[in-house]
Amino acid sequence: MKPQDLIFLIILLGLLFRRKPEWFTLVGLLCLVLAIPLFSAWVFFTAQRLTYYAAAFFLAAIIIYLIQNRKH
Amino acid sequence: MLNLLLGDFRFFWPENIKFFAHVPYAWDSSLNTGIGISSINTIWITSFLNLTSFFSYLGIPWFIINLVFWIIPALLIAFLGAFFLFRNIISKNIVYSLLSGIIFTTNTYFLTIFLGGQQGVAFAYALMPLVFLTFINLLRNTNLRSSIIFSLALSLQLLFDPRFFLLTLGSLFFYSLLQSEFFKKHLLYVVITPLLIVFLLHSYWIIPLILFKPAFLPQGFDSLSGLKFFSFALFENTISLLHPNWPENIFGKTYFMRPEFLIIPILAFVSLFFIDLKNKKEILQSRVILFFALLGLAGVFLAKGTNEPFGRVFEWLFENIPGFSLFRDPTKFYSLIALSYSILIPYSLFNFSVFLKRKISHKILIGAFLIFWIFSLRLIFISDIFQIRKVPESYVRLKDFIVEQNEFFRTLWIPEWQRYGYFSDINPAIGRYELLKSGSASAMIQELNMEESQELFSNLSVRYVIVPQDSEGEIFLSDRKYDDQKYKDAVNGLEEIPWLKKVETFGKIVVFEAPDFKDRFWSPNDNLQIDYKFINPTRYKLNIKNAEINERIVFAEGYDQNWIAKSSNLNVSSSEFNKMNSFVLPKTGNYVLEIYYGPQKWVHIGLVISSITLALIIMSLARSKLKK
Repeated sequence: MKPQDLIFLIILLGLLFRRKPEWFTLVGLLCLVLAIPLFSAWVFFTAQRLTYYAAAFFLAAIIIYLIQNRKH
Repeated sequence: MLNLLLGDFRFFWPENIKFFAHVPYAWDSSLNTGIGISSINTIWITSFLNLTSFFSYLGIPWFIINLVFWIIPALLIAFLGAFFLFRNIISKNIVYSLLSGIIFTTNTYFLTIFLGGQQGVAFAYALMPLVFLTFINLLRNTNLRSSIIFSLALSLQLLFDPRFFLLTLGSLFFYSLLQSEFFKKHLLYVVITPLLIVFLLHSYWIIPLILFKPAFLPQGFDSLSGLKFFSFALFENTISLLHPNWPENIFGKTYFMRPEFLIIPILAFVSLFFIDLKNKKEILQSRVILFFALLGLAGVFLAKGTNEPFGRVFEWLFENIPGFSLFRDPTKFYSLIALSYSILIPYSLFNFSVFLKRKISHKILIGAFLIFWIFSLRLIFISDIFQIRKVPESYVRLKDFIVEQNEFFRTLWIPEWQRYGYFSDINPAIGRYELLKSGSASAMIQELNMEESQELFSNLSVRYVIVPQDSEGEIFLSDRKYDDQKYKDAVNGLEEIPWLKKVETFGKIVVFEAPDFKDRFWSPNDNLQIDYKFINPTRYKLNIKNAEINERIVFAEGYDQNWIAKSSNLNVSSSEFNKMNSFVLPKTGNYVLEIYYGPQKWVHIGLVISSITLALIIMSLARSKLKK
């Protein structure tokens, strides 16, 4: 496991504890924003991983929304 | 003579387009092969070509038919479908609806397939929002009329590409589940009627496909190595709706990630901020946004194929889900991303503007987005992927040379057939790797030098061997650039083959003649007299004189056991003779035979069913319109 993955897991667990979909969305967007300069600088490994994390955060946000949707 | 140079899209001459203006046939004599193959599993794909080819009888050139019936409709349907889908499910705001149409029609995926000449795929993609729209209408007004309209849209999409049809059906299924409406409504109108209508309308190819069960996928199509090879897109490409071959669309040539495209998913997934499940007025729209966000993520994950992350998932699906091997080229899943983002991005921009309490006006926001969008597509303006070309005069002269002879023979193209090379059911062109399997001209020439080659090509009615003029730089290549030496080597190699004689040169096209070539029907016995009449690619009439007992008639088309020779007292299936068809005559004497391709009977029966279904649908829609 790479250090990037470890940071991702820590953040994911922290967010899962709060279960606020907006926060997941925000972090997902931040990942994509961070990936832009990294791709420009050809730092591909981290940039690629940031896009994976972004998708994971968006997916988590959608799942939480869907659970909330069922409750409503 | 002009041609829109669109990658895979075909060019037709006024003389050969008429050969394809007919009802769909289960046998392909010349369109995709030079030696004839069963087309049972591809009838759907040529149906629209068959239909539009009829306009050639009005004297309309292919260039115009192409433009009016293929290019413009695909663009219009894609744009208007997305426009009305957004209007219908998100907002009536015209500007944002237009934005939806622009995103769906001008993203790098659609432009790549469209400009790459994959017109059937482009049409099927273009129909996705329209099918969604008719389905949403069906869920809202569940009645027979809505069900029929949805079925028609779905049927039209199936006509162009079954893979997009399956993708759309799958998406609609999940949409229904998420909307919790699926099981509440009548299954009769939402599921049974549409599937029945689709089956009936397409019965002209579905029935023969079921009855004759040809190998649906080409050999090796479902290999895992092939799948890995075709997984061109990386995750960063798919999430950014950036086609890996953009902009040049050279097969297999991918590029470094263009970071500006990451703004696209940022704009799309900002939409998740505006979901409000507590507000009763907003809840339905929020569910729609959740669906499209999920659809987009599913597309992102699948379109990358076997690449990371979790590439094994796609491999598992490919190996274990029946029919999933149809998606050997995973980029088809880009269509889900495009559909998703074409809804999410305008929704995000609209809500962003509202969120900022209109401190930034809509105009500025949309203007900024359009500038970014055009900037992201800037390479299209400097590349040469969209061109109108004049067909070289040399190909016009070659076409005239072939047509003027007005008799059956085949041409063999070394190393491969060129897009302007003339072909028809009377003069099929071999050169699409159906006979010579080698990849290079030099290896092919070695094959031609083999002892049995002259007899093989003579039996297959090959009269001319042609080296093409590579006017578009697609054939004689080294490092993807035209290499004149390769062309010269091909010409020199053929000049050394003793049974070939150089007879004509048209520009850089060199024509060699094989002096001894046989007709479409022939017999090893020279005393046998055979007269035949070509009715269509699936039917011939033969008059045979002086046949002896167990005489063999060879039919020089690719072997298929479903070819049948029939007369009043004879019904014989084809038997293989050197990879061709042949029929053994049981008695001495004269024969009047009909040679026909068996599955075509079922195509005709299916066409009757399809026509009756279509007529009933039109009558039913007209009746309900009159009632209104």
